[in-house]
Amino acid sequence: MRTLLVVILVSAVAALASPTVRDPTASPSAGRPAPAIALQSPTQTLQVQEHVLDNGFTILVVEDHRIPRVAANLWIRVGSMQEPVGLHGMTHFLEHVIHQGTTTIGTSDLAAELPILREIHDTEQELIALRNRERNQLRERDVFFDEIGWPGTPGMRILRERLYELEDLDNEYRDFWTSYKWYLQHGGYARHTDPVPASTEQDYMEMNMALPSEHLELFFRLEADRMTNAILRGWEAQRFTVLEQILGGLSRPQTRFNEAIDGVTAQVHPVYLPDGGRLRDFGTFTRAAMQRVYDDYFVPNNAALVLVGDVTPDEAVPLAERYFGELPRGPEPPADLDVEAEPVPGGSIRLDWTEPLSPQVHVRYRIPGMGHPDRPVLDLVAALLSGPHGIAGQRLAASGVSASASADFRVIHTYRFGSPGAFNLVAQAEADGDLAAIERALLSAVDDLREGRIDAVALARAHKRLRVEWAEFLDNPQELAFLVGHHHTMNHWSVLPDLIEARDAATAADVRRVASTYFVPSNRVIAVARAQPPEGSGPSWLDFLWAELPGDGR
Amino acid sequence: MRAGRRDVRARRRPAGRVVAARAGLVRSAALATSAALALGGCGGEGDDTLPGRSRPIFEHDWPAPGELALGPATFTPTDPGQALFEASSGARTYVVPGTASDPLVRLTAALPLGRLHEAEGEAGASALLTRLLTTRGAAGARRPLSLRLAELGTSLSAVETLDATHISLDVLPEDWQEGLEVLVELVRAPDLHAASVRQYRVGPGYSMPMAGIDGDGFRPKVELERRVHGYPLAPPDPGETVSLAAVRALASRSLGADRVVFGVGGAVSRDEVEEVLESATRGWAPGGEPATEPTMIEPVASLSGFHAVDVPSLEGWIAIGRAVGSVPESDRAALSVLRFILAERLNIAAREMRGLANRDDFEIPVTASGTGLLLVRTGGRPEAVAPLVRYSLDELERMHDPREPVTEAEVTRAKGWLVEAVWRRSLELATHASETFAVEQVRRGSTDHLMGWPDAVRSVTAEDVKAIVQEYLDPATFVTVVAGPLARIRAARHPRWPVTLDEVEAIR
Repeated sequence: MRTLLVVILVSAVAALASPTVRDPTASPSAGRPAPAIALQSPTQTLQVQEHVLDNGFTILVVEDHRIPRVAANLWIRVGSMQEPVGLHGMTHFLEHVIHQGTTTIGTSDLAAELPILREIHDTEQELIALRNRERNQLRERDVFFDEIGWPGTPGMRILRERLYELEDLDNEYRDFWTSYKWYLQHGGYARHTDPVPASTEQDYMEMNMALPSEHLELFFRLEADRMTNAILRGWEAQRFTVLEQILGGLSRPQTRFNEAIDGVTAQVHPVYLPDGGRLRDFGTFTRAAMQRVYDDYFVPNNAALVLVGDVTPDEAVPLAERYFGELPRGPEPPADLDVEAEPVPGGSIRLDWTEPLSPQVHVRYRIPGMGHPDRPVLDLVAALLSGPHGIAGQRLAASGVSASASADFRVIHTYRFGSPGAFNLVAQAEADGDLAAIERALLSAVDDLREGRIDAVALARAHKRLRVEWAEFLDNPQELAFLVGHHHTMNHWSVLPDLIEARDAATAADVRRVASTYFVPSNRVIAVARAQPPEGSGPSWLDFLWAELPGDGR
Repeated sequence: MRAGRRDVRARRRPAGRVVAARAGLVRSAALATSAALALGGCGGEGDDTLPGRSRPIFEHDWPAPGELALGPATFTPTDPGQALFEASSGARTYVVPGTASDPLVRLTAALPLGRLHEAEGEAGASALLTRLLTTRGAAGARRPLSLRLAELGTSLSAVETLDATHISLDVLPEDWQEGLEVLVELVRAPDLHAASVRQYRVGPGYSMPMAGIDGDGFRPKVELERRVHGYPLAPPDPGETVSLAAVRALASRSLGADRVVFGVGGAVSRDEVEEVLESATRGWAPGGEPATEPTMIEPVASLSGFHAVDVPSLEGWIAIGRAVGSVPESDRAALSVLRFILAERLNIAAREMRGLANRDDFEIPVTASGTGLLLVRTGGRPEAVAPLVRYSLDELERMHDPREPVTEAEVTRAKGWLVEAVWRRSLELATHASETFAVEQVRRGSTDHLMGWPDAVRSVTAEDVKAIVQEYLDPATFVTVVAGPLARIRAARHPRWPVTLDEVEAIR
């Protein structure tokens, strides 16, 4: 499952901010529980109980005994930001192929499969060697080698077709979808309807399932096995399943526009690359590269399990010891792409979109990554600007144009220290002719914040909106498990209650200071899309994309 | 950096661990034999791992999933009879108090609205009325609905189906009274704004651009509905207007005190809710007569075929379906089990085995009478479209073939999911239960079907499913609609599954 990077309004801002820089040396001692931190307010309570096994595997338990169900969420610290150029999308692809069974799940006869798996491996190695040889020969002759049509030679084509045949052979011994079937039979449901109950973004992969509490052990059994003994079966079929997910997103003109805005915001930073990958890279993925990611990152000391629901640590820890606790600790996974943000460039950037789209204006500002103390205030800023009675909505109404305003954060799934983020103020218009007035209104709303024209009533409404959203998370064990796990994977779970408290305490003065700091022209991107672009849409974007698709020889 | 990792991995293999893993074989003879035999023939990286893997296989004695000692599922839902409150006006409410720690309260108004409730001359009135309710609020209100919602920090969500619509909002516990008053006011005295009604035009019925296969706006679904039946299974034709009289007539029937059912779930006191409801609904008149029964879809028995709609798009989208009339209560559970099994088979055939689509799904109607559309939804890149049609139809055929078994494992899986996941989930939280009860009451007139559902599902056998297949799933009665870039789709040939659209069309 590949989730969209954009959450409209501020509904996911809780997932983003973390005001506390955690001392990495302050983690609790292995094998002992850490003290729980409680956040108490009239409607907001969060108690997380942490336990770390000897092999580094972390268990976080949030007890919620209102219902006899547990939302289980396993997190691995690996994502698209670990991918080298040419292999973008590989981690998301890996998510799919680790759901194709293990040494004991999803196979009717592992012994019969092994010769086939061996030949698949050898054939791919041969294909990689041939491809490198062909490419090097072309380079030596200074001939342009276009890999889009890869495999581009008859020899490569034959090997690829052999891989297809071998996978068809292997399918004879497979039971498809096995772990998912076990979950469904025992009353499990996932966070989304996609058949793989997992998601991958810039720096995480997570597997999730909400099970009746009496069936919780199933999650430990299946996910511990998946974490250590997955076999990358069905690789060729999954390559196209994943490609379909990417194409599904790109079928939406709005997605194409949003990705273009990401591209001009800070093109060199990997956080702005499409986490689903580049289409052309689907021709160059290899099992071997993917296996390296699995072997390096799927180790207990790089994982955390979050449980929210009808379960206690006394019940969860023995299960964790029984399954995940047996897994050997691995070398610390490489973190070589934990990059720092580049300096903010000078000069406002404009993007005029030439593909017809519903008329809209985006005013975007670069902001610091998660973990920065200003992020909770930016949550409040987003709530303050959004909606018909928000500051931007009021400015639009005053300018006499019909448009709706909202604010969101792009690249919301990342808050690794040093990675940048972006704050996006968006107005959807009814007519192209209103766009200039809308842009002026949005910039006026930003000026209102910078100059401290912040109505106390509007501020109270914004605070209320954030409290309701937090309550919605607390009411939903699955979403709360995701939120806790997300914060823990990117930083530490304790930053979540800190965030909620910090944004609740944020004032108009904080808003003014933050707006003055970040909402400046040199830090801005303005992007405009029109129903009827004045220069026409030019060559068909679809034609261009079709040229980018991997060629016939797949 | 990447090249350097190979050295790290080469040092990583812990010999002691492999020995320990081997010792583990003694603990689990059956598993160990299988794994040892398998790995023994592996060679290459060493006989403790798999081809291409840099670390040893972890050998364990964990039981197979089917051998885990998992306790029986235990869940006792709230008794809807106990939760029901009827005010003196006749307005009914399911009040499901949660615990004091519940973080919010969900407020729901379930309404007998939807295209099947529209009388002659009212086509489109239901969707328009829902829009007016959720955007304009109550007539004569001192403050706009949007401002009141902003003060509560919330928004309205509306779910429209053919025979029921519900509007919900989530509020903090301290705001439930204000939220409930907003909700009651807007359904009790809707602002049927004449200018808005005059300006309204029915939309196309589908979402553009196409992307993904979910939702009522999935274009080939709507195109299919228009071809197999038309309105009211399909939306009214685009551009049609709705008269103010039609909206008023529908509102009169659907928004009476005895027609709307509320749900209040979460951190509330039942006594306080009853007091507020009594006050807020006092003097609210019952709905106009006659209260129309939802229309029944009359399927055209002989209809089948293939239709293609040219749409500029990156991908092609597919709907394969047929209309069904009333489904007897005795068939409902088996049909739901069938739905699960066929959806699973479609996904395995199209996605897992062939990589043709991200999803290939099957759905059945949710209406009280069972009337509506049986529908396969899928889609993919142009070269995948014809194979997707072909293999989806093959799965329908396989399901329909009396010689092809429905396995006990499939039925067991379906039952577990339908009861312990879907049904149970709808009732576990107070917020969900109150909403579920209210919608069920409006849709079916009682909660009996809902509360009897687990027993009905558990009684389904593989034979029941095979019988129901013959009744509802004859592929000859299914119509196929493809929407997408037809020139590209017709020209495309999938390298592994080279079926063409022309071939598929000829079959249909």
